Amino acid sequence: MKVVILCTLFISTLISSNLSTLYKLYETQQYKRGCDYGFKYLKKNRDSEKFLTLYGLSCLETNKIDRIATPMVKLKNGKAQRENGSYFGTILLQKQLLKQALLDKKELGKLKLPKTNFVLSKIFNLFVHKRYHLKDDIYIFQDSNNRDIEYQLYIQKMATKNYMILDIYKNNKFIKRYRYN
Amino acid sequence: MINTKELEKRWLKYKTKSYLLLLFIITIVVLLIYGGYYILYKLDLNIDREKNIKPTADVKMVKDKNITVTNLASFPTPIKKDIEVKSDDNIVSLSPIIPIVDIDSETAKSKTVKKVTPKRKRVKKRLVKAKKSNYLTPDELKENKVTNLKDKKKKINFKTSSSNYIEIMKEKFHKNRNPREAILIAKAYYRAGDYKKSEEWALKANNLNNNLEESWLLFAKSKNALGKQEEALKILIAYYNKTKSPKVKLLIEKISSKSI
Repeated sequence: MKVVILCTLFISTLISSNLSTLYKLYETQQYKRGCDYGFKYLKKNRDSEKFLTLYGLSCLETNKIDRIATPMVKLKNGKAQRENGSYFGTILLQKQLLKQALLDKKELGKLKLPKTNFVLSKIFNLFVHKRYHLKDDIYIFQDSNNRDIEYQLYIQKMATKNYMILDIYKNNKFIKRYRYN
Repeated sequence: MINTKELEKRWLKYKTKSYLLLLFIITIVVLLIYGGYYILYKLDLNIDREKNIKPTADVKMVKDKNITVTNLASFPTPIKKDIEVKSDDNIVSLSPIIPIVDIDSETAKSKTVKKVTPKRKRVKKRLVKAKKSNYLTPDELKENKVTNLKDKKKKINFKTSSSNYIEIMKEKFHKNRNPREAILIAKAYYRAGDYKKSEEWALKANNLNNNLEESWLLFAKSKNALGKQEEALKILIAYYNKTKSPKVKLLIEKISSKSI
């Protein structure tokens, strides 16, 4: 009995330390490190919904957006967790649909999906409402709230894979690039 | 002889009739009150909901019922809000809820395991130092102590990683107005020892969503840290009566026993 108690205590302390490390990485906006750290300790913390949420939110800011599929599926207990699950699910679906539209010229019509505050979600809504300029296979969008911000969406064809690239410009200066698988 | 039985029967009839009359009057009065209330309030609202879909309906209603415009303004108009929501393309908006992690307790938990190894090293170091000091003269020892103190002074750093974090979180909060971000800021201020700002941000979070327990706890903790123990207890007790939360109960006990 004592062994069992000690083991559970040990495991719980390990879980908590992982969570606080991930939280600190997220706090300091080290999303890439946070995403990789979360991925490394995902098995150990698969039942910790806080860990899964922070892991998902970290990966969302990186190029490894597909990793949010795990928290999307696992977050189901509690109102806040379910909302986060839907949030991840919406973004992942929007990314998938955008890629399909860009690669296969799939018509999205007037598709209505939930809005999120994530940049990809903004792009999706602009794309669906056809608020873009097409120039050399590059879709150029203007931010509806901030005229200084411009987005460029296009496909980068590699030998083995096709990447969907989202470049963000502010006052014609490059700020950030998302490169999705 | 007077027929008493017949008289009794007649008296009983008379009494029941008078009671029935009284009962009839009471039921009519009750029905009138309830009917009046129903017509005035409940029936009115129903008509409003049906007709408010058209924008001109409000004006007609005013004319019919002889209600002045000023009176109308005082009525709550939930229907208008519904229409506004419908006009917003019916799109649901989602935003992430960042979990609140109590780093202090998390690290305290993790330290219980990590503490075992460094303790041994410290013992070893102390042993080595103790042996060396045996060979020093008292004057040398004094010098040594002074230099050690100087070194120690140099080592003290008051750098906190939270200052940058607070700025980042503030930016995020101003963008999203998410109460959870306000809580995170309040928590960071509390950790940094700035209880006034912690109180301020906890209040901000509470104003945005008063169902978040964390905001109540932080507000009370900050109040307590500022020396307003009674106020903190009042707030917590009021919240506890509402929610019966064990966390709140624990904090009440801690504050009242001054163990926080």
